[in-house]
Amino acid sequence: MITPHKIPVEALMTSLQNDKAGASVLFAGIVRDVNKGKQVSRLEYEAFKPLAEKMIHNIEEEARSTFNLIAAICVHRVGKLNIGDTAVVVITLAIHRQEAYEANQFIIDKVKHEVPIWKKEYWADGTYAWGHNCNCQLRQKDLQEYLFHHK
Amino acid sequence: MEIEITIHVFAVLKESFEEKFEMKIPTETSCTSLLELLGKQQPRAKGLLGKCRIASEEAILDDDCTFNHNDTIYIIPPSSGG
Repeated sequence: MITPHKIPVEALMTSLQNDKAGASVLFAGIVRDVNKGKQVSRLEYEAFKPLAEKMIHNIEEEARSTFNLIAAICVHRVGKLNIGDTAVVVITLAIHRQEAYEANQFIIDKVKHEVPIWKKEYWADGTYAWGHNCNCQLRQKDLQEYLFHHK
Repeated sequence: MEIEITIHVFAVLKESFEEKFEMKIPTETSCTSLLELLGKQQPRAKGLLGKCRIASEEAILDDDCTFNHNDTIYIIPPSSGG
């Protein structure tokens, strides 16, 4: 889901409660004040909403079946965000913690790499830069190797 | 023979192109060759366009996909959400 509003993290957690779930993992991506050594003043996120929402839904479904989840949800915010604001939330519920952890990382990695959402960082010195946020090449230890190939 | 399509761009591409514009292209132009045509229009975006994908509202299109007259398409730069 894509939203221009503050993400209601507690309400999302409550809505997903399930007696079969022995583990619930919450990841929240938060706007921090420094990136690559530069002071950040704020961020702005843009998305191609129709396709982004469809792709997030498909990623949630893939995670549910791959990791045998009870529930999975990802909500990404768009618009202007300040330091400390929550930009993205992923919640995964499973019978055991291992699946919940692994599925949560699977979802956020894939959302960051594939879904048409873009970050614009505004620096404290008045300049800005469009983000290059996907770090899956670094996790693969090979700059030519992506976790998820689309190109 | 040419067709006309409507193109939307996002994020950093808006610094090189209008957010929405019409373009006449040869029939049978593929996604890959459209990105090359756009790179010729705006050489400073050529490197970035090589990493872009083309989409409809429903899906990312295959590289060899071609277009119909009056199609609306979306140029998708590399993602940076999260």
